[in-house]
Amino acid sequence: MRKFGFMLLSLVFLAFAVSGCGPSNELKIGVSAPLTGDISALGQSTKNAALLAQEEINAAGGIKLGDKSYTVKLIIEDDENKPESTATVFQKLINQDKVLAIIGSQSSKCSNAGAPIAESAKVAQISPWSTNPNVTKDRNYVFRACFIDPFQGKAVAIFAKDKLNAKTAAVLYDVASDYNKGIAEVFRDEFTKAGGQIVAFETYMTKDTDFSAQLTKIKGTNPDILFLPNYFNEVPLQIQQALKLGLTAKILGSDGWDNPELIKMGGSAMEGTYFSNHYSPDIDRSASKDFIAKYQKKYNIMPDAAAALTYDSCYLLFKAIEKAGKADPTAIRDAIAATKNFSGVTGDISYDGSGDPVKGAVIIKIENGKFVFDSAVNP
Amino acid sequence: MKQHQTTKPMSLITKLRTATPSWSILAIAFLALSGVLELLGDMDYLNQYYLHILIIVGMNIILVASLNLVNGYLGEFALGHAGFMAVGAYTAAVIATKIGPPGLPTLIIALIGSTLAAALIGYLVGLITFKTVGDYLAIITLGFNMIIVNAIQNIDYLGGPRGFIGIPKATNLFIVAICVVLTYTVLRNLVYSDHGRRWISIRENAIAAELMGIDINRAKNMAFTIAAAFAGLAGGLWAQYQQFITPKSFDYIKTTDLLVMLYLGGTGSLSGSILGVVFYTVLMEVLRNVLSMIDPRLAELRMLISPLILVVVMLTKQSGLMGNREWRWFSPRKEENTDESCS
Amino acid sequence: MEIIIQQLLNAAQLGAVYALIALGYTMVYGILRMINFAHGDIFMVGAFIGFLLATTVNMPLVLMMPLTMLLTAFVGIAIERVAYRKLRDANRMSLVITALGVGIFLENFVRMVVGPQTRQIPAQLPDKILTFGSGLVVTEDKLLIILISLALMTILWLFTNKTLMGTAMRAVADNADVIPLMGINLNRVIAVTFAIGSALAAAGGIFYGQAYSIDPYMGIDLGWKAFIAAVIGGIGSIEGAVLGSFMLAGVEVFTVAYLSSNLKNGIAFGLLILLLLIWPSGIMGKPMIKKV
Repeated sequence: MRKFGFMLLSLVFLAFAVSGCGPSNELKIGVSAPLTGDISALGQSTKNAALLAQEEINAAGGIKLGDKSYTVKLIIEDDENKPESTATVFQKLINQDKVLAIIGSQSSKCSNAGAPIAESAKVAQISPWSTNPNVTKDRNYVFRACFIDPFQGKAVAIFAKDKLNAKTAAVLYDVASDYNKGIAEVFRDEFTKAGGQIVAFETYMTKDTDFSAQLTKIKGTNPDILFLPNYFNEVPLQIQQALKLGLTAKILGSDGWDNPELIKMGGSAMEGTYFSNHYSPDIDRSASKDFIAKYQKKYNIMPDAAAALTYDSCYLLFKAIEKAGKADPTAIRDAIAATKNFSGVTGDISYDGSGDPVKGAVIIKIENGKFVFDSAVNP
Repeated sequence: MKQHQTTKPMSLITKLRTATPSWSILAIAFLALSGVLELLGDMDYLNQYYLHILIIVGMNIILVASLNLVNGYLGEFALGHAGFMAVGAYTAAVIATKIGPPGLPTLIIALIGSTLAAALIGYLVGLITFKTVGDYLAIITLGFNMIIVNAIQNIDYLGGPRGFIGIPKATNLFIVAICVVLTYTVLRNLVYSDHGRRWISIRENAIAAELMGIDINRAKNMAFTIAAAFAGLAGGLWAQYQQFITPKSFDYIKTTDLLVMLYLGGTGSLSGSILGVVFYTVLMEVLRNVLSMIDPRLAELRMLISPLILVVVMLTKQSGLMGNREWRWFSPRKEENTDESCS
Repeated sequence: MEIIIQQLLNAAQLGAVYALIALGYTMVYGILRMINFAHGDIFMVGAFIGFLLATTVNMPLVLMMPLTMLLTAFVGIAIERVAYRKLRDANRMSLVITALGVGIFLENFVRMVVGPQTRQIPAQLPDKILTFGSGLVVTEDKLLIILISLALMTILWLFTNKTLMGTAMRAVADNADVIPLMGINLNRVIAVTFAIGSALAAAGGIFYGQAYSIDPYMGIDLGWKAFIAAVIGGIGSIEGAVLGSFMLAGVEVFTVAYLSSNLKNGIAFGLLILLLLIWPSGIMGKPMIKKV
């Protein structure tokens, strides 16, 4: 027991003493990602995209500050998709590793737990994928690379009403998850405001896999469209089960759908469905095409929205560091806030005063197992 | 431990060990140390990350020690501790944001409120679980935990699944240390009082205890209520430290974490609860640092290595790190000769 | 009326999967008085073995299912041998924590090896949509899953009640201390119990992977659900586990259908607590008699 305790203690000292040092020509950037736990597939994309960006920028000579070139060093930590672990990760990245800025976290609840720490330490935080409006609210050091839930929910509602001529809509969403609930409620309000009628507003709990009870109920109301603002790992099941119950409504979704797994799992059931997204892979945009090609070459899979947004967050930060001209967190924060027309994979990003980018959305249709651009929605 | 006593019976170390300092001296020393650490942290002499880990350890100690009351001393298998924590955390969040200006009075009111609210719920759960024992009790407590979380998810006033945002930060290491000392003073006095004896006798043999004239329901309910109260206190601290809480943070995954730390340290031992929390938390952070030092891509290995270490420790120390033993400091003076306590 | 029948079938399918997991819990509990928290993860491992067999070598279901059950049975035996046997005489709760550790290890091991993505086992059961009456829609695979699960449960019941090994298992459950005196190899009985429990969980995993989807962390929630079902039915009782599983599924489905899907967990658990207050030892469980 005692020997064991001693070993542990010496290991502790060793670990804490050695980490935190590093060569002086490195710019350290923290990444907080859910590498394990229920959304670890997203954490994987985050890690892949961040490492790709790091490799590229270092291969191109790193970042030039003044007349000296610095290499970028990412420190990737696992926040387990738990707020309390995210807080620990942020503390470690800021105080132990002394990073210049943090990319992350992905889910809104984790970004919300990390934000107060970044804010009080005056270190900028860019969340690639947290769409909950309150993540950046009243905060100076917190930014995001994506649009927010109300914008997206409204875009889908207008699309359903005007383009699909839907009069009645049913919604099935995860009531225990902030993302799903946020969009579902905006959609309900906007769709009703536009003159439509919500005939069913059904919920389930995260990790449920049997939706037949809710879908049976929805089928009884015979809606024109079914809106599923849920994650890609649940949506195929929901659609398959809906089809097996004989539901004929048109099906719509949100950016949580964007993942190659969606079509792999859903197969033909996904045909003819629509969802709103940050960008469309088939759009004629060189930044998007480049990124998709490089990502596919390196990892042999299509990038998802989380990967694209992480990649954008990385480059947004690299540019800001370059523009700030010094390795100083506050100067970097100011440079991020002053970003205008940054041309990223997922569109042009500008910040005007708040941490939310001025950015459009696209509606994607699934045709022949591919994501096809349908229309664009601008703020 | 014993080696010292047999080989060098009068060595200085042994003398120091035998001379048990009084509880109040220990408590004051502990408070002073944490006060100094807090000050060092505020003046940026101490890495905030270490301070953060110490605060997390402190809050977990309160949680695990109070769970120990029910699962260790009373010998039940309750699975709903995170639910009481949720009650405390949300009560504190509401009080801290909606009532007073940030400051010490609000903090104290919020902590008292969260303790009382959790105690009330704990009392009610205790009332309902009277008829059941063993794994049936486990399910009822687990059920209550899920009901509490599900209820919070549906209350928009509390933020629903989006969580409660914007709680002012009021907890620091010193406040946590005060609460730890408070918890341990109460628990230690209870465990070595008539109540503690009653709980242990119920654990060892409920029927015999009843025959001895112990009101089992009353004793059980008391343990439940006190355990819930401290869980609520920890929840209140947590909410005002993290400044943001979500209902999902209080589901059975949290309870599972607490159980791991409790049984790792050893049930029925107040010092075991401390050791379990410190060992587990430090282990996780050491792994994090070591892995990220070797290569940033290894971060996800942490969750693969830590359970292996857990299993190995449990296989070698079958009753947890402390077993049923107690650090001398934690047992009252008069028991020195009769207790098998050591080290 | 059709909707009620439809919902009943939905509940039956969910209940069948719960039951296949709950049986493993209840058998191990009956014999070791241990809550095997890794059981949900053994179910997950079974599902992934099935997934790998079905996708990499395109094995047909008739072959894939027995092979998966066999391999998963070995996983179960290995876990018992390595992580549990040494602790058999230790504090019951040490076993619970070891089981939790094994579970976390399995989750992360599968995530590292197979990847974190959500998958589906390619459907091999016929899934033609059958329509009855005016609106009752049933797919063939749903009916088959219910029927095969019931068949497996019947085989298990026959095994424990009609064979020598089954008798030995019930004897261990009654009083493990005297078993060696009777000339029965306790280690073998326990190994067989783990093997059967794991094999059934694997069968559940395969069905689950075809009807729904699988991911490395799916065992956590389903494991808890099955544990709850086993306790409601009366832990240690095979019939109880099956009954508890169908009841839990029924309560869940009908809460969603007729009360409120927002409050599903709240209402479902409220009802279950009520049940336990009526039957404090579960529905089919023996009342706990403590010797003084």
